[in-house]
Amino acid sequence: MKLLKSELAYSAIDSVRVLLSGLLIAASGVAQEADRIYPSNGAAAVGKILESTRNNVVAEIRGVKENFPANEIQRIVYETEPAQLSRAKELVVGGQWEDAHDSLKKVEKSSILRDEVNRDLEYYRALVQLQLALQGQGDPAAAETRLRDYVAGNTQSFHFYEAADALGTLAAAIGGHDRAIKYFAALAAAPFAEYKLKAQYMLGTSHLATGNATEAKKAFAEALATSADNQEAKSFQKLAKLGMLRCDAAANKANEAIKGLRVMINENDATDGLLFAQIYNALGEAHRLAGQDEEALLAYLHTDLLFTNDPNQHAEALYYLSQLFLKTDPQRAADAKARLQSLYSNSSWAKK
Amino acid sequence: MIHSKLFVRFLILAGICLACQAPLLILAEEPASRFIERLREERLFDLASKYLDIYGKQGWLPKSALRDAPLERLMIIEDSLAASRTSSERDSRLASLEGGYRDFLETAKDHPRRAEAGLRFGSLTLERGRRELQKLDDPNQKGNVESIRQAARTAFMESEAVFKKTQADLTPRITEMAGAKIASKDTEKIELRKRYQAEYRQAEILQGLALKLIATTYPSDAAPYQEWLKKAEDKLSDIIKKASPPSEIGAKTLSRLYRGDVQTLQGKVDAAIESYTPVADIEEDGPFRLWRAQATAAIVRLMGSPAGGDKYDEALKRGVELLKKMGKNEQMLPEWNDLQLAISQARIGYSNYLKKNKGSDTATKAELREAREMLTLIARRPGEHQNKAKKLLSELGVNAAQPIDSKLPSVKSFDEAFKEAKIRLERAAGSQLSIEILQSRLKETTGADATAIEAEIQATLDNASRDRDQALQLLSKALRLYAPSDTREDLLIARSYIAYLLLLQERYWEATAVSDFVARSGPGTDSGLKACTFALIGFGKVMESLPEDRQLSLIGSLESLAQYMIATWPEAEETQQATLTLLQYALKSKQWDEAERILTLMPTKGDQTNATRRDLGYVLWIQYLMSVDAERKAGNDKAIGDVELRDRAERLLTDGWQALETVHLDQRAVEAAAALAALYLRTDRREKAEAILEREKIGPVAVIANRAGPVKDASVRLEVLRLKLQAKVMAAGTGSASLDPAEVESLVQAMQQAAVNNSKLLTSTLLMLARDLQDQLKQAEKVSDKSKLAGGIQVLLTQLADVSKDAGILDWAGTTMFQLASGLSSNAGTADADIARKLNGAAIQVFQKMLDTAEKDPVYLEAIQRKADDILLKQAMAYRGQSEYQKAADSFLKILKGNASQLTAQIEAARNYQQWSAAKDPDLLKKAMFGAEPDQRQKNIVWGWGNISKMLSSQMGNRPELQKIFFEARLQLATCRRLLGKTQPAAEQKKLLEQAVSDIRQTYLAYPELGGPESKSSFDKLLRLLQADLNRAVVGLKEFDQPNAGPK
Repeated sequence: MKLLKSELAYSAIDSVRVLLSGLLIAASGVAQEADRIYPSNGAAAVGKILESTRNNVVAEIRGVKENFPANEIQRIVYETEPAQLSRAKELVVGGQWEDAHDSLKKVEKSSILRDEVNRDLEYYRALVQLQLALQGQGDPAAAETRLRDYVAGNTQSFHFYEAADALGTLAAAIGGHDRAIKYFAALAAAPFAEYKLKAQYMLGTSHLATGNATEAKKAFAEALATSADNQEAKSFQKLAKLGMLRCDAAANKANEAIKGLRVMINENDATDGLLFAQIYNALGEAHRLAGQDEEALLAYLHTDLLFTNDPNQHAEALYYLSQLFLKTDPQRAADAKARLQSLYSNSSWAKK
Repeated sequence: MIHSKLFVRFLILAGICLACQAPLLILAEEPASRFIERLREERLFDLASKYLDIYGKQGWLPKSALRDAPLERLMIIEDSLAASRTSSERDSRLASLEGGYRDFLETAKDHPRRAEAGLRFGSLTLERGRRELQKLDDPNQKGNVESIRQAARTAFMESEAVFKKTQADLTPRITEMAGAKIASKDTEKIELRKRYQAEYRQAEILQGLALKLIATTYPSDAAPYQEWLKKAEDKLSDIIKKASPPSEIGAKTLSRLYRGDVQTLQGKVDAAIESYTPVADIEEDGPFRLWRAQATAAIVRLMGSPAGGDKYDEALKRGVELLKKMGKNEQMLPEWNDLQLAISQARIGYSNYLKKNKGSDTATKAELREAREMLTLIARRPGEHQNKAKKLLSELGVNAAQPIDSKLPSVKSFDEAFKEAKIRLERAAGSQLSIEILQSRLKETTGADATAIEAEIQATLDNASRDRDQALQLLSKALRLYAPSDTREDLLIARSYIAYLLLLQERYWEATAVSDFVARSGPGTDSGLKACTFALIGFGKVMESLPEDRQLSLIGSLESLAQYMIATWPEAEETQQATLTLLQYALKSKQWDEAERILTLMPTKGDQTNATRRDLGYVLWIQYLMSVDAERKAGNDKAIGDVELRDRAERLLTDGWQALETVHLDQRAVEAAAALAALYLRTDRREKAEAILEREKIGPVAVIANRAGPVKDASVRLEVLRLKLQAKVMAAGTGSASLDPAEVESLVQAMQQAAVNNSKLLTSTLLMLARDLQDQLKQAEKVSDKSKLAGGIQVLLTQLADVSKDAGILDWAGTTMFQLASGLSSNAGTADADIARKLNGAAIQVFQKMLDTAEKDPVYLEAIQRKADDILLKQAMAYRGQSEYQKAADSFLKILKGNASQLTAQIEAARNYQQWSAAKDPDLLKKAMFGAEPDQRQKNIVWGWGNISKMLSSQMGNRPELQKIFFEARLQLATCRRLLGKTQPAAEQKKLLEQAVSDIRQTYLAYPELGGPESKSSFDKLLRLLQADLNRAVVGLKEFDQPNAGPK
């Protein structure tokens, strides 16, 4: 109860500070002393942003300089930024892209007084457009260009790596694997282990998609060699391991890959839908390469019936199901194709 | 329907009893049970079975899944029962399933899921018994009542024993795990115990049910009936008593419902109502809602009856109160419709009660009116209640239509306006049923009553029309009153109603615009899809009303709608319809590329796509045939039609054929396959055609052989037989097989049978066949092929002539044979000549048949605008072809005696003499040259070549079409003169040969072109022969171009 009271008190003080800041703005133009930095974990820090690069943000918090690594910043809410923009940032954190889009549309650009806010507005608009394109809404090429243009004009933005990741993911989803490799290479240059790991894994996947198993294996191996100290990083290492097995399958070692993948199934928790979708798709691929169509079909069906959270993996499974069913059951093949078209119309799998 | 409501109840029960189970344990292993469950949910039974096979064999299944595999297999079969195509297939699957469960229970004594198997087995047996009992409803089974009852009883008893045994099996397991015997932290065992307890309870409830069902296998006045009911009541009462913990509320409620049913059968009305009441009062969701509706309906029936004390008021109050709480999604459920049926029955009972007890007339009528309204409503919904509702309505008769208030109600919100509009729409829809009933009564009524009913029908129609007008106005108001607090779903429905009403009012433009908007506003919703249908109808009507050139302007909008539908409802039938509509317009404007492009809008594979591709192929094939016909009519004897069109048709028909499977066989598939075979035959690919026609099971010949098969249309049967026959004739034509006349006859007989006395259909089919063959013959390259084919045709045409008396057919058949013979007879001494003789012989008989008929029936030939002389002329020519010259000459003479100026007969008569002479007989040659058969004035009736040419030379100026005949006559005159000369001594010969040269010279000098290059060449050749005969320089017509050439 005490804690609650003190939180309320702090909040009240904070409100007064915001009010005062408002008055100051009115009096002296632009002041930046009440920006809020929301870390990935913990409470927001309120203060004045002094410096911002792609790697970190430095702010003066109650008279003390504090460093916020870019990978730990969830969002920054600038003082004086329009409420709709702040709301949109919250929605983005929750992955509510459509609502965020609606909120961003309501932002009056003319009401923005600070350049940072203007740049942030442009970033979020580009990011949301890209995420919606990933979900099949809107033109993915236009979305990619918009975010890429933002990055080109803001190379030191603390959104840099986040943007590179989003760009790479979109490019990979629509089949632009060469571009994805460039974007993930930029992400791999980040000084943060989990970013590096993800980038290495995604690089491996993109190389594999272009048929370059050697480069892919190299990237996966690098990911496995990187030390992983949190859950997210460990997840990417599991995926990298899976990537290595996919490389085996591509190198005429499908049976070894199948054995390895079965071990992964027995070693991991099947409630991890994202991982299992990838495992079963990889299994489907290995069976296909081994000429075992029935086994491949059953593997892809696992993804289709049990692990549909990852749109790209689900689209891949639907694509191969539509191909594999063609030989035995054209109606089911058509069903799979129709679902692929209606659920993931922007996906490269739907366009194959 | 494979499972009865009873079985559904069991599944619900299983769900409720097991609801207390913990979520699945998370294991690092192949997620077999979840995967199998999903495969079963998606009805991928074959794959579920394959999964168990493959993964089991590879050792990829976890131990528990391996252990459960036999049971899982049985459950897969059980789930797949609904996919059985025939009842015998289903019965056989059921039998094997019961056998499977029986074996499992016999062998898997310690299996942890043994009770589950027992419950499923027992339920299946219950179902079998119930299906047996249903046979008692069949009037044809009246003689088998006792055996049916016995069979049902055996099943129910077996089922009861299984449930009892299940309880016995579970008892020691539950005892071993009782209370503290399991550590409180051993969650796995605790969950297992809960599962066993739930299964035990299920087995008890189902045993109670089985006991009740055993009772129903006895007549209600038999002692065992009451004895078994008593056992059921005791069992269910015992469960109700034991199932006291809150977690067992489901088991307790269901047992009460079952006990109420048992007590109703026992005649214990009060006790039954007591059992039902807590079920009817329970405020829980899920299956409790269904049980609540059932219990309430039972109470309404019991109270609203003399046995229940005529407590109509109370019964209706209870029923109506619950009905007010009925959810939107419950409206179509059988339990809720049955409740409304029960309420309606109670209202009718109440009305009768009031009448009998002199109650208020207004109240009596009000009850009847309300009953009628409710029955009208539910009679439109499918289900078991439907027939009962219709029967009650019919018994009630239709009440006089009450005039509807023409004033619109005052509405202040979207909801109010929407509700009032819906009332009017429902009422207007219900009027249809009233009209049906009134019309059926009208048929049985006469006089004043009939007039009254007719007036009633009109009044009902007027009311419906006014209701629709008002609904439209109210819905328009509703849109204006729409506020953010109203639901978007209702807004969408309101708009879709508007579209529907506009369609009914034939305001198609507006209907189309509104429905297109609704369709796009409600992707994935029922209202959206319905709106698509309205939009399609609207588009169709609007386009119909436009001139063709303006129709195209709407195609873009229609395509946009179709594409939207394909993306949103890819599987819906309406989507298919939209694409077909587009296709139809493309075909109408003969835009074949466009038609194929539209096809690409559809899913690349699938039944619908295959069928559409195939149908498009069929349409294009028909278009192709029309192109051939057009060419033929334009005078192209060797018409081959639009080959590009044919190639497109072939591609699409081939796709359709390759995708054809037995299950998709319908008449259209057979027609398309036949079209492909016809296409192959026409393009000289007989073997491919035969492969299609004769393919086992799905080939058109095999399909039409099955009278009960999908082909119902005689014309399709005939077409298939025609193609088979054509292939046979063509095979004979290539020497692959000889044409067996007996087989042809048998095929023609089969065609006669298929035509079912429709001689027109038969003859047109045979005509088509002969025409195709004739085309084939024209296109045949080798002479030998020609003659073989012609042989086949002769057998065929003779059969045709035998089966038909139609003048057109006979004329065509005879002429065709004669013409074919003419073409072949030039190859004298070959097999062709033999065939030509046969063809001519057959033609003569056909013509004779026509002449005989014409003699008896003077107007017989009028239908084909022929005279007897025309037929006689053809017959004469055929005689000549047979070298029967005398008969030919007699026929020509007969014609010329009637009309000497019949030029064709004159020419053919001259030719007859010429041929008859065989170039040797001077008398006949003279007759050919100068004519014969003098009349009374000594004027030759047959003119001969000389007189023909004389006659024509004076008329040619005005009639250029005679030129050809003139030159032919001049040529033949010179030819005959030369031949005559050859029969004479040297001096006379030279004179005649010179005269022949002179014949040519005179003609040449008068007409240097000699009738054209072909004719000129003939003259030149003849002249060269003469020059050789006369030992002169053989220079042909050049002789006449030399300076000293002049008349000699």
